[in-house]
Amino acid sequence: MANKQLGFFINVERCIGCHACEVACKDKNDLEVGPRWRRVRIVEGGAYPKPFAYSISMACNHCKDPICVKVCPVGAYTKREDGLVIHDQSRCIGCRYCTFACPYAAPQFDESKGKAGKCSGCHDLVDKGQEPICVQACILRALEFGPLEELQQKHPGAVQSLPVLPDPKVTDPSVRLQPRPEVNSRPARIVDGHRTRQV
Amino acid sequence: MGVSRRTFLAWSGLLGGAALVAPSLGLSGGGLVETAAEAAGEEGKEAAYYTACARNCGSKCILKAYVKDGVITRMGSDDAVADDPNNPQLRMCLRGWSYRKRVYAPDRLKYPMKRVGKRGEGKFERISWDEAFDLYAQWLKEVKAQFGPGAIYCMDGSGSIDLALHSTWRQLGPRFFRMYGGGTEQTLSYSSGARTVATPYTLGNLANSSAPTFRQTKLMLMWGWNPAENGMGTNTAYFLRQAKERGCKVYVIDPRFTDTAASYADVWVPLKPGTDVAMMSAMAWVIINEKLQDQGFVEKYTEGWQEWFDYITGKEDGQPKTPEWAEPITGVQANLIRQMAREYAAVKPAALVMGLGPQRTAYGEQVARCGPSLAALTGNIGILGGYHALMNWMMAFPSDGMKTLPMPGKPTAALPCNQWPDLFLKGKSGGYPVDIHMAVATGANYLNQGGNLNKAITALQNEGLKYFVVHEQFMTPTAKFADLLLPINSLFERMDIAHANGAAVFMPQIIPSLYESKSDWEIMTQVARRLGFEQEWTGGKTEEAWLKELAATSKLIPDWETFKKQQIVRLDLATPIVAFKEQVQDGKPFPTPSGKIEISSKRIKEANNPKMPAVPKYIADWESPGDPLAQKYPLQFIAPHSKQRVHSAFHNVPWVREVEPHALWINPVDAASRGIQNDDTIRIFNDRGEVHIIAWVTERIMPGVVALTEGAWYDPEEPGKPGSIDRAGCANVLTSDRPTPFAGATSQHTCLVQVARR
Repeated sequence: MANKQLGFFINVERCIGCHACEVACKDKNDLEVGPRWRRVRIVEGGAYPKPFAYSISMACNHCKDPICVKVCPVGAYTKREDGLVIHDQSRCIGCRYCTFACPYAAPQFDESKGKAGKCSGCHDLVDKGQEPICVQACILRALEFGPLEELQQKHPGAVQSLPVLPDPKVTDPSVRLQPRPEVNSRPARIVDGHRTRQV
Repeated sequence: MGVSRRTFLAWSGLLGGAALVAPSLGLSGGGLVETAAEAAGEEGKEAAYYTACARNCGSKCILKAYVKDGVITRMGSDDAVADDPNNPQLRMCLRGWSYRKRVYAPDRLKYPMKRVGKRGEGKFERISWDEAFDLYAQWLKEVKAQFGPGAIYCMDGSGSIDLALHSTWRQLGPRFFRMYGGGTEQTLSYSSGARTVATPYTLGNLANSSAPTFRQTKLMLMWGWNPAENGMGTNTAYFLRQAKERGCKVYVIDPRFTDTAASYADVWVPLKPGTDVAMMSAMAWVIINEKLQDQGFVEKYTEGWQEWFDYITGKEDGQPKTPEWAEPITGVQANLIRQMAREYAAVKPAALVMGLGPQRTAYGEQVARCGPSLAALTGNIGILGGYHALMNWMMAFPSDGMKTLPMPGKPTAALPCNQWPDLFLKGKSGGYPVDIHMAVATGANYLNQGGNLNKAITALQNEGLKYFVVHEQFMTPTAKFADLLLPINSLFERMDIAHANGAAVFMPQIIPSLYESKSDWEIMTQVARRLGFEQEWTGGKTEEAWLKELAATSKLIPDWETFKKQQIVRLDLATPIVAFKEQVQDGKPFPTPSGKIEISSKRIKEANNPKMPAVPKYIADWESPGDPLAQKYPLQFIAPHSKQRVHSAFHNVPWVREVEPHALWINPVDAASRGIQNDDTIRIFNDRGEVHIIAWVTERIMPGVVALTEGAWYDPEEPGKPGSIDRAGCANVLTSDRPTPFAGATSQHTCLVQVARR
């Protein structure tokens, strides 16, 4: 498994937006209100009586070319041999560069700690041969984790990005998504917890 | 957390005699499980135990708790078996994952308290358990001696449910008061009152099918049924996804474009609340008019179909129930009704699956009988992949046949639960069989969860009610009205057995009871001692002895010690359970007087209630767009369930609050005409009350209808004052407590409001 880039597969067609993955992540990582290392965003569009909505559960994409590693002034980020990008909070000085640089907003500033934090791919569990907690939690079995190549082979229809997501050329994210037809429709807004962004 | 780690370390010594057994787990893909024997005595060691999330959501999922030094450090879920699409792990939802924050919530009640202010002001003083038990016993004695046992009202809620020992729902309270000589009990539930009474007149009982059967379904009509946001039984949403991936076509009929509609629907059919029977009748008209019905099935298995056909065709009342007739009533285009009717009649097996929302309406009894009649018309009952249109909150699971705690004796009186405010206020003068002078709430936040909250406040504040005892974990809106408020421990703090969906789970005591909290069982034992029936209450048995005895009645549970170690035993979920299969395939009679599906019921006819016709009919709701009240309050208001809460439970957990805002759903058309923008704070009001909350302006709800999920904890500007403005978005400040005409059930979704900018 070493040397093979690990990543997440996200089945957007299956996801019902239940947020179990998100809260499992908060519990595993003991996060206070605020940071959501895995978060389920709801993309809404269309108009009554034909609205649409779909959910995208996303954490850190453990990019092949991680910008967080590049911008961190204190070297708090490392990319492991298996491709997981790990943030060492003990080295973090809370400058927030990573939170501004990451196109996916994966690193988030934790007010309670004065430091950034992000999904580590549950590397402690992965090292014991287990799956990340979000994958274990998924009620629809819409999340998978493993060597990216294998995930791509298993899901030939999976893509690296969706129209609502940032350009994958920036960081080459280690993620594959199973799209659904609505991803090609123009969204009206993206609901992210208590924040709503008009598109 | 409010409890120091030092306190836990001091308590961990207490665990020796508790149920901390070592689960022996054949883990696959699972977590680290140290044996408890090693961990319990050893500081800094982590142990893990399985338990079950015994909440009233319809599901029962596996929780796993990692414990270190007597403190739960994190949660896990079902990893005791490999995940298999036919027998999936019993994975829990976001609420289960948030459970640690609920156990250690800062607002956990810590010690017994006595009211000092006015009832409902929320002012209390701390007392000792001995004082609390003495007072509790003294009040019961006094009320029973003066007014008889029927004056004591047993308000047993679903805060703790489907447990062998510690279920509050229809178990501990009723058992206690029956042993004390009676008490007034609750019947039905806020969830399902109308269908629980009405559906058996048609089908004979409330038998259900299992979710894996939908994998054979070719067409589904999910009618007011929202499994993406309500569990409907562990894994139901997953089995439905499997159905979709096998090509099942799905219609979702709901005033809201729910997560279920967003995730599963090929076609969303927005329907005005309370008009379900009009739409079903129009579908029946299309089917009958075009001779698409399964006439063989209808003639063989149903009774009184001609009478229903006469209603549908208009032979009875001169009004054919055509799609054109239904369109202005329902808001659904006639052609769409036609299309659905034709498809439902043509595709087999097809499943018309119904949630309970449509029956929490003025004439909820009608829809609870009309759905099964329509399913019979298309011959979709008793066949694999079909469905009998039972309005349900959970699909069926195989049962291990385990017995429940014996319940000797009888109540003095029993009335539908939703009628309590009216009963408290009127008693015998209002035609009720009893006057209520004392109430005991266990696992019940009924002030918050019943219709017409402001009337409920006056009911709790009426002078005839001498004493109100509340067993609670948190300072809920109901708890604030207590005279005596007793802190209850959580499911991690006591031993039990849960009936998870398709499994039985041994629930060890995982952590000590926090603060001074105790279980309802312990409290009732102490009070029974003071009242002289402790021996009868406990049966001379310890809690573990009871559990062992009940476990022995299960077909599934092995011997007690093995079960304690193994923790989870499972039944095969893949074997489909098809309701009424024996009737349709083997010719057994339906459990009705005629032995058939009674589309027309003689018993109902004999009851001679003008609002309960013998065949299901569309009757316009009292608070509906046609009501003169709609001039003043033009919007239909519904209060669906939220994925963030189980009714009012979990409202105080910040991790679930964070995932989405609590807000009033309103269509842009209705918002624009009121100058309302997304996130504006608005007033929602009618003659019953006023709520201030933010607006969620969305294309996902039909115009003319607004929705606010139920369960947010009432937060009045003026505590204890009826009519105060609520700032939390508690739906029941607006809903009504008017009972349905036949079942006497709740009609909370029949409600008109106005909305304005604040």
